Amino acid sequence: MSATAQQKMKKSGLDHLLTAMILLAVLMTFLLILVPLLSGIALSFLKIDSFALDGLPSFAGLGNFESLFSTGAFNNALKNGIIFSAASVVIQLVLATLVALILNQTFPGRAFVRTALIFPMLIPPVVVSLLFRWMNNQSFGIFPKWLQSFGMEPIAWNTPELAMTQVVLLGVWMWTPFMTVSILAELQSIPSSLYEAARVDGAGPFSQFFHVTLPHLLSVMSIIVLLRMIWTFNNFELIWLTTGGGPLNSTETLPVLSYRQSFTLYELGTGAATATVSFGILLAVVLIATRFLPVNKD
Amino acid sequence: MSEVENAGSGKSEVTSSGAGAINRRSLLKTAGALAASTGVLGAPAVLAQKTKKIRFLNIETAEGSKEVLLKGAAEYKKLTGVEVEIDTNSLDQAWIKVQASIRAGKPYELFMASFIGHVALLASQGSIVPLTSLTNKYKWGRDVLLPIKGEVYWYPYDYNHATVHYRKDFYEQNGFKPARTFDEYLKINKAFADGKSKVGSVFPIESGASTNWASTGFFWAEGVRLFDDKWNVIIDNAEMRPKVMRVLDFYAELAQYMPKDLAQASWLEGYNAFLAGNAAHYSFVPIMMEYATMGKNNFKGKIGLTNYPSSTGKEVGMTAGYDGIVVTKGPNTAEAMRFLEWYVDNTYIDFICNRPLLYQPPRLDIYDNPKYINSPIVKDNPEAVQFLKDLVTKNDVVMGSIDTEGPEISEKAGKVFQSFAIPIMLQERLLKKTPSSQCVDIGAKIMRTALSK
Repeated sequence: MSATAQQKMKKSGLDHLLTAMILLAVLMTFLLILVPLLSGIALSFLKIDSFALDGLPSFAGLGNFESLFSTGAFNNALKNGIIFSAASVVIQLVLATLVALILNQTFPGRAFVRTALIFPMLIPPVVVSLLFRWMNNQSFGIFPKWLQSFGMEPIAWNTPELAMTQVVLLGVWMWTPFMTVSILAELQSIPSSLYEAARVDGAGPFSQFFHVTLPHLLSVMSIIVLLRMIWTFNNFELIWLTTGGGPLNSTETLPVLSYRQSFTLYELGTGAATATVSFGILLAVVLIATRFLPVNKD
Repeated sequence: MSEVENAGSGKSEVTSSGAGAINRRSLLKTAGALAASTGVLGAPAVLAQKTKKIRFLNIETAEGSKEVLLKGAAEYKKLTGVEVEIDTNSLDQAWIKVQASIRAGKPYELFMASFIGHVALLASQGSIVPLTSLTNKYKWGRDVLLPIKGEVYWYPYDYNHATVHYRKDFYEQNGFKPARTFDEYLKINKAFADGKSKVGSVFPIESGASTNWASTGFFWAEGVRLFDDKWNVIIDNAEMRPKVMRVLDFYAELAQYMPKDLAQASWLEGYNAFLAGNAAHYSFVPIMMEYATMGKNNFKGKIGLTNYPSSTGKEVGMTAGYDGIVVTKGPNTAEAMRFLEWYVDNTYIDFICNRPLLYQPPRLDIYDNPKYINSPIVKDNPEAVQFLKDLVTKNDVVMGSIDTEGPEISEKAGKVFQSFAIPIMLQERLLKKTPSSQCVDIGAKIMRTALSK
């Protein structure tokens, strides 16, 4: 057999392997993502009475959606979701940029600080949430004790006024490191020659930041902001574990509403309708973002 | 490479005759193995044994409870050859699993239930069997069998009343007696609270089962009823509205002696605050007393149990709670019934006596059972045991619970329970300072919406 024929066979074998792997990926995507997604959407058009175990689901048309929009719960959850995502992501972005800029400088113990920064991401949300609750408990928490030792009143976080602030701050504590690491990685890739050139041209630190650093960071910032917006908007566990969506629905977002409808009120169809609308909103955001933000930049 | 199970020895023998290769030797071996395994499967005794397995869904996760059940299952297997698989789950998960197993056509043969509404639902759909013949053999405490259309569908194994715990040592030092009126109760709370870390009471107001259970006793004491005999919501009618408003306004006053982070309080916050010495009252089943006997806290002799007061003191109240064992309808129902019949005369008593305050006996014969009487926890807490026994044998305390409200036991009350109408009324009053009359309107609307679905 000639070398060319051998090469052809090898290439053909490789092609088969690649095709098989792609097909496998497509199959897995279909089974694990598309099927549950389509089932969820289908569920939102069905009436399922959880209180009737022997009853079959019946077609409800747009009934679940009408039921969803007929109360103020959806608008409230959508508003809360937008506030939670926007506030969390903006604060995280500003903080992460500042921290990344500091960590990009040389100082003793920098390696340790960079490693320690990752720690909040390693702690499960359930631990973060419970620790925060216990540490702020007025009867035996450490924070109220500290405040009282300075003659201050304990902060009642779980009130309609402060509950959202509470979950936003917890989210910021947990997820700022992700943004910091991403921005830091991008900062390290900016050639130092650009800063030298800027300095020669008389640019000060602020000018260097706005004319050299920020333009380089925009691409990565767009991606992480988009990702964080999606993850935060879809976040369930942090809010559920910290406030349960309360008090008086002041922290109830769409995923929490969907859960409450499905598993507390046993209205599976309405819960699915909420999830479907939430999916639609996020899909629209992603499509707009990929069109206008530099996330698809080659 | 192929693998053949050696039916005789149970070991695997691996041949390396190449992929897909079938030779005479391997064919004979496979045929032999198949014949042997067919013979084994066909053996009537083994076949019968294989089908004798029933599943029991346990919701009790307290220390020692699962172990008692497992021990009972092992004893039963030794006695009858029937395997009882104990599947332990949290209460929340249990109902989901029960529903799923029934829908899948393979129901748990037995399961523990906490909400009588769920039992009523399954009974109405014919998914469970009556246990009246078993419950008729004993005398029971008040309001626990909760019959549905004349039949009892669960075998109660405990009362879980939301009992108000108070600091006995503090009461004694200050000459207080358990309050019968709101004013007396507020006075005691004021004396204990210091405006900082020490609070008079911790009653949850979160939108959850903890509030429905632990914070509703004042409503029952005040004579509040949720429905009339046709399932109409009546909390906003001329008779009930003032009663509900009085309780809400009492809560508004009590809030000054409760933690500021009240909306976050759930099952454990009151318990922990009390344990830290920072709360004079909280409501729960008396497990802290059990732990005191076990030497796990230093509250031995320092805890008293009492009822919920009312505005006039004419009546006092209590939020009732219960748990029971249910048998589902299916191919193994007869086997499950045989097991339950054995269980209620054997493991049942051990299960209760292991944690006799947490699992307050609903069956009255248990109170005279030597195992119960000689339990270290019972011996150590005679006042509490008497208090609990009086609750279920006398009728001088107004008992109530959202899921047993209404003209009959029904899932309708369960829907109102799940709507968290009462927690929302409390949150409106305490967190938003909404006038109590408006809170009543909000609560009534939520209840009606829940019932309409």
